[in-house]
Amino acid sequence: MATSLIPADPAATPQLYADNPAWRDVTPVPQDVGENPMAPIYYAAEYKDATDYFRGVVAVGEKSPRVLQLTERIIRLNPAHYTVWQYRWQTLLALNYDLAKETELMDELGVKFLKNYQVWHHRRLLVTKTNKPGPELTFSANVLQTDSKNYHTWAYRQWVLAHFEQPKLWNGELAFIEAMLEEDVRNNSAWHHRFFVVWDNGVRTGDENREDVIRRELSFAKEKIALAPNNESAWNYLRGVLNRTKTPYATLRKFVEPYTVAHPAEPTSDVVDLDNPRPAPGAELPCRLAIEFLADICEQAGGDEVPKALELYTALGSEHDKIRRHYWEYRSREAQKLIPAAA
Amino acid sequence: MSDFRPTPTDAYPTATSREQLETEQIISELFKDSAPALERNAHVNFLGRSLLQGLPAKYQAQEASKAWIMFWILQSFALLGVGLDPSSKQRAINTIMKYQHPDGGFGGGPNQFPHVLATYASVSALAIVGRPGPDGGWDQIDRKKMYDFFMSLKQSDGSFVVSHDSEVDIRGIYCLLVVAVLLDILTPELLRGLPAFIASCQTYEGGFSCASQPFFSDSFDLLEYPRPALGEAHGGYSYCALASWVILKPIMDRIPGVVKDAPTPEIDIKALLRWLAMLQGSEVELGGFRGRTNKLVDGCYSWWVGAEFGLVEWLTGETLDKEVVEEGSTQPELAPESTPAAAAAEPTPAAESAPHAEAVPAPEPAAEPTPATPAADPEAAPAAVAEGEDATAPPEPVPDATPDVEEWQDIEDGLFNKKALQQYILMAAQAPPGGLRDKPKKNADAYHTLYNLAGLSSAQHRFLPSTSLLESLREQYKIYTPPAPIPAVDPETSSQMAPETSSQVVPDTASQAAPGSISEVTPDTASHRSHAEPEPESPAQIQLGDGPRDEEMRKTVWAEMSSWLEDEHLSEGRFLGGKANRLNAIHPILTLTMTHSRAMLNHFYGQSAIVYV
Repeated sequence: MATSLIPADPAATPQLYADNPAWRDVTPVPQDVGENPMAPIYYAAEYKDATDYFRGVVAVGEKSPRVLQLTERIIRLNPAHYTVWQYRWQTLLALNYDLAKETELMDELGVKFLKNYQVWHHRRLLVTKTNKPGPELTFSANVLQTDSKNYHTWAYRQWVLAHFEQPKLWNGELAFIEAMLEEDVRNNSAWHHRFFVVWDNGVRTGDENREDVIRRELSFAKEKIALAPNNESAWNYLRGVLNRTKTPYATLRKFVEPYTVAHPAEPTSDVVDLDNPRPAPGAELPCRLAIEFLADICEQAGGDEVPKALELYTALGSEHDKIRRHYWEYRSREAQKLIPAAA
Repeated sequence: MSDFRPTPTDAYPTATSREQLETEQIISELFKDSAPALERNAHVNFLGRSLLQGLPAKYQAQEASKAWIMFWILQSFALLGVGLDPSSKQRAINTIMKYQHPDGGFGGGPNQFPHVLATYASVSALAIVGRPGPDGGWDQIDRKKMYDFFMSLKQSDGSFVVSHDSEVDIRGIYCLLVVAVLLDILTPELLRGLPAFIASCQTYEGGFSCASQPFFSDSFDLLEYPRPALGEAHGGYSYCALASWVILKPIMDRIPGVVKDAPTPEIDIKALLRWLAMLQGSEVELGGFRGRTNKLVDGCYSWWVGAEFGLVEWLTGETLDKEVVEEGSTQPELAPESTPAAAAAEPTPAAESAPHAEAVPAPEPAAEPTPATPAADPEAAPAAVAEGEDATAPPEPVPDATPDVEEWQDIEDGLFNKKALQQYILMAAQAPPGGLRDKPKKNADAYHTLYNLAGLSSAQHRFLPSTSLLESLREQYKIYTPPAPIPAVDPETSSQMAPETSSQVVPDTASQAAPGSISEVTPDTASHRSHAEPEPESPAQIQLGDGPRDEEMRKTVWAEMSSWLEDEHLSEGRFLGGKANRLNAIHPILTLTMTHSRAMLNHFYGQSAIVYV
């Protein structure tokens, strides 16, 4: 946007609407800020001119092709101007405009202004209307190449999948997620997307056997934890799967224990235990997330195991995760309530 | 601080871990052994320049956020104990009232379509600078049209879009609820299905996302499940979801659902708390908060995440006990701060001008002889004067660096590390020329200034509702009783007080009940009116939708919102860097000071002479 404010070449400055004979019939309406307003913005001439004419066309309700040109110019200067977007949408509908052409424009603006709410919603209005979700997964995947954690883009992709509910859209998602996590195993957005795809949208084709799905997902999370044990995203996913499927944490005790100590004992057998992948050689141990997980196992088990949970909470608060000392003390107080009052 | 251990990367670097390490480097470099001062003057001047002198052309991309800019600046001032003189207040009111749309609601600026977020920012800004009466802003808000605007945004799954042809976004839900709470326009119909929608935005991580996807069966009935969350758990959205939930919780049984016989919606508080706790950065990040798992810390989450802990505490059953409340009845910042309502009644020169002006400037380091008002910029903040600094606490220019002031007394309350958060804000988020920022190397802006300051305030104070105060407030609440129609009402009087409601039809019941003059109204039928003078119509008279208002809902919302209190039992050692860094306390749901919250609530709910004990 800075480029339009400081034009290096005066000839590059677009013609003002005020100087354009084709717009002579429109009465520009200045912004009604009242007398002596606070926090005024000193708009550049081009912006003020365009928005004056925009208010002029809104005042008379004009919805014409030139309004599309005008609103596009303002959007390029200020993509957060939701009023302009709304009026543009109404104009598109009134003109029965070719929405494929509008989508092309959005392909450009979507990448240019990818952190903006309006570009994504406008796209959603368009695709809802055209009912053509096909290219949308590719489009959003391209944007994620630029900004792999863009919130709007992920939410948009999820909307495309859920709204159109077409099996062919869903089919490639697991492979897509795996590629994203291959790129960066700490990308929490990709982990969330996996949960969305596998657990939040009913049963997808091929996933009918839920026991298999649980096994597959736990094994996926465990492998990623083994790779980089201090990755919170993978642990959160693991917990999410266990909670959703009501699987006791204790079933993962054997997997977790080696991650809770500085020097895990060597395996007693030479056979590789695929269910319990061991920390990669570069792992920095003990891992606070594993200690917390073990504490949860002990707390869930109750009875004799609770004191062990308290011990672990103390270790977290005083040694491994001091910044969260207050939280670990709270967890400890809560866990103490599980111990039957001593006689 | 020997604990500057970098976040472990397990010898497996990725883009996330590389950015994380770079950020840890630049943040930890700013660590100091003793906590720096909150540079009040610099921040006031930074904000004052935008407010009074305006913003250069590069801010044109903020045209749709003018209402927000007003709110960010004015609420920052309120936290810093800075108020505007009466003529500046009037300017602020006039500026904001230009954002109101003729069809109801406020736009992001003049001549813009109404939008829920802008409506929130405008109404909240008016809570700070406005007042009842002509030109005061409050009574010029068209609440009836605003209600209709809100209803026009309602979706079949219980949620709302933020504006016409716009997105569903949980920020909009929060904004709409705060406005409806403050202006007394909550109805069961408006809230239909909302709790279940909010609950559906909670993700497996425990935090909340921006929205969820409604699913419909063949019969086009909404299914309770699945309603997948769109987007991952996020600190900002979570605050909006949680604060909304806390508003609705006490009236949950009065809200109809959109699904027949659906179970009462619930949220997983334990999972939420765990996720929140994990968002606090480690020592090497000076304890700032991140907004999502594996993202970088950012000063604005000091509030969005920091403030959630207090709300979670309340959901787990914490309240302030009666003793605390009674002793706390001389709360420092509440008494002296002139409420907007009081300002309207009398220009209160004492509260509005000079006496406490000294309280604003933070003690400057001796080396820097900067005057309180920067000479280079005489226009910067002349209109800003102190109004809210505490008077019960000695108005001393705080002694610098005496050991007892500097010493942090670790208070064993709360669920996160409040000292560390204060460290991040004071050491890393203050931008040297003034204003606060996301993180070092980023520019300060009004948004980050407010939410860093709000986070600092929430880490300095402890805020919880008091059950005894809640009881007392429920007893004091007066249900609005329409006055008997009086032929001789002076139209001047009534229109002066409430211009937009004065033409409203008095409910039928009243006109049938008392055909006579005021002299026939007995104390029984006008239970709360002990004198025979006709009173101006109350804002509480507002009629919304069909049928009578849900009086129990109104009373509960008013009392609950007014019952949050600062815990006065806490020591002064909670202010990292000493008491000079103290900010005013902030209502954890309404994001206003308690004084501003109560003044506006009382006006629109028609409550007066309330004793907060």
